[in-house]
Amino acid sequence: MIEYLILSFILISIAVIGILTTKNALRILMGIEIMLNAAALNFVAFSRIYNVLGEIFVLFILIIAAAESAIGLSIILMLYKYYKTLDLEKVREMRW
Amino acid sequence: MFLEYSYLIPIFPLIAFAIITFFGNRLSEGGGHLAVFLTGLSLIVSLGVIYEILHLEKPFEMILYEWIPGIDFGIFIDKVSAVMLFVISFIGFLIMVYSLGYMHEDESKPRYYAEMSLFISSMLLIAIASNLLLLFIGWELVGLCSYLLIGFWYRRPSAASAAKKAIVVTRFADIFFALGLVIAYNTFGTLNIHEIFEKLNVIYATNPGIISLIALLLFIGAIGKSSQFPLHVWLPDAMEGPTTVSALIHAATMVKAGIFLVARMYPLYLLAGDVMYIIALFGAITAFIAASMGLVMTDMKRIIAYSTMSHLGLMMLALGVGSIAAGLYHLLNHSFAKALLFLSAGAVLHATHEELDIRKHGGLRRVMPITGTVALIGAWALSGLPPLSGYWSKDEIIVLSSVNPILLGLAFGVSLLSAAYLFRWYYIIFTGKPGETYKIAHEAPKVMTIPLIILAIGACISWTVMFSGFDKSVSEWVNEYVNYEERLSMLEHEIETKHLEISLIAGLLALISFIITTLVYWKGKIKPETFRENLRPLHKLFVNKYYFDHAYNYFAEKIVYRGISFLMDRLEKLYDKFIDIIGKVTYYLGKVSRKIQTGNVQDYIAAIVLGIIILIIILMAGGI
Repeated sequence: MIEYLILSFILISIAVIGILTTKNALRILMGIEIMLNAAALNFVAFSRIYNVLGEIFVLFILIIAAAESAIGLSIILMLYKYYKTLDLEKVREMRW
Repeated sequence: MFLEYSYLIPIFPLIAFAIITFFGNRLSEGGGHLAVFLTGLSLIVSLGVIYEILHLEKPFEMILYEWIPGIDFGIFIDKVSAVMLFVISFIGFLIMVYSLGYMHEDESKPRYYAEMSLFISSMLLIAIASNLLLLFIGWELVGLCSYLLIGFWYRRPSAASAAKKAIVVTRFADIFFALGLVIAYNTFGTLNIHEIFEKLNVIYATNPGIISLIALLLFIGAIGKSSQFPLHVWLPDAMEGPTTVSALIHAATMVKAGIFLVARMYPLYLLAGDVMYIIALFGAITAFIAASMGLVMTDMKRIIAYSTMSHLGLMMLALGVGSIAAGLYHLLNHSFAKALLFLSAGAVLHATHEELDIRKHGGLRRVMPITGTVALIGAWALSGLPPLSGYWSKDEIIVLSSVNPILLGLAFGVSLLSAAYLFRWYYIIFTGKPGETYKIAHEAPKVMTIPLIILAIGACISWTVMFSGFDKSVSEWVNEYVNYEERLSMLEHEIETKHLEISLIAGLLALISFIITTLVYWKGKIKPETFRENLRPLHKLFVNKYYFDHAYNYFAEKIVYRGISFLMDRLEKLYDKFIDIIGKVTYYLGKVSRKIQTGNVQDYIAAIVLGIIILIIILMAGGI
């Protein structure tokens, strides 16, 4: 049991570090995906102890993750088309 | 048998209004026939109701629906309502019939008939309402309809502005009426007319001032509606609508509502002695100034309008000096004669392409014999010459006004002037040399002359009501709630024995002015110019309507408008400053705080992670 939680912790740490240390939009999106999966892993792990509800929840998370990545990817695609770059430091049109 | 169905009286014209509004274009004569039919039905029901109520000792009351305690919707019919019901439904019906001929060529007939039906319906509602609030609803509806109908030819700027004037002036007065209702509800705990009367004596014993206040506020409402001095300015301008509308406003609806309100609440007014003096004085002033203005006008309808004002003043005078019966008699007699005058003026206008200037008419009697004859009867009846109806009620009012020398003087003045302006009107239009319009004029169609003839008969015989013991039964009605005689003697309104002398003087004055007018305008012995030259300042005063319009305009433009624009200037600047300050504060706050929003996703995520870590630490520290 504890090993699943440790794995989940490692995954989320990787995701957070990955997001914080890069300027690339695509990498940030990947980090977010990893975060989601870490959370899903937690759900599955706990559902072994309590009930099947956690597993059902994971199914929803998968679906939402799929939708989210589709939208995220298309935003990134448009971003690239418009700015010819994925460096978020350079995408600052609306900033003060 | 009819009384139980009396709620149908206003319902019938209301149905006509609804149907004509939606399907008027597809109905015969633009819905005119339907409107005549339904007002006819309501006339039949009201005649039945009047017959029954005159044979009933007590007033008839029927509550249809109680909304909240003290405010109910129902029917309260007594002898005062009976007079009003008769006037509205009978004359309203005749005017509707007459409209079939008069409005035949108009394009927007459905609108006309729909609004006329609503007008009659709401006025009937006023006459039979059991509750002051219900009466007020009818009152406002009447105001609305008068606005719509005065502005019927709304493409004419003068019609549009006359309609606006009418609604603004009457609405100004209605504010006071509404205020009176609020105070009445607070005082009596009810707005039901019958219950108010029953509580009158109790309230009067503890707080007589509040009764006077309510009476005064309701009277201000009546001033506006009945076009009394100083809110009379709207009525002469209200001639812009079709003549039938003027006839309805003057003879049956609108302006009679104010008189009716005072008559309806008469027990209340009897307890408010000071207000009675005000009513009498304002009535007498109105009667006199209106008569003098009528003397110099050249607009055919305006002269009759001033005559209406003058007679409304006489009715108020009668009510003010303590005779509800005389006021109601004059209301009845005046309604017939006034409808007759307006409709015959309408027949002349109809035949002469709406030529309003009386100086362009002349000798029309020869081409319009029926109209000329009935117009003579109408002028005669109103002028106060015996033996037609106006003489009897006017005579009684003048005798009653002898309680006070000022009132008596004004009443004598009215009696002198009214014969003059009415016969001047008649002589210039119908006798003498043929005028410009002589060639195109022709007699009106039958659908117009028959109502005229019926009205002429009514104007000849309506005074017979005065000898039917009606005054006694009205006094009994008042006595149920308030001791009539005692109140009158407290007001020192007892009639002395000068009756015959005053009556003779009044008759003589009317006769003198009739003879002078005949000499001037018919026989042509004296030129009217000689009067004008010798009395130039007076003539100027009358033609300019005592400068009331000027004064109101001056007040509105120079004082109200300027004051408001000055205030608005200051306010606007203050407001601008205020807005500026708000903007600046927001701007500086934003300038400082926006640094937090870096726009870098990483920063936000770092903040989130930091927050989570802090939360975990707090939770763990608290948990362990």
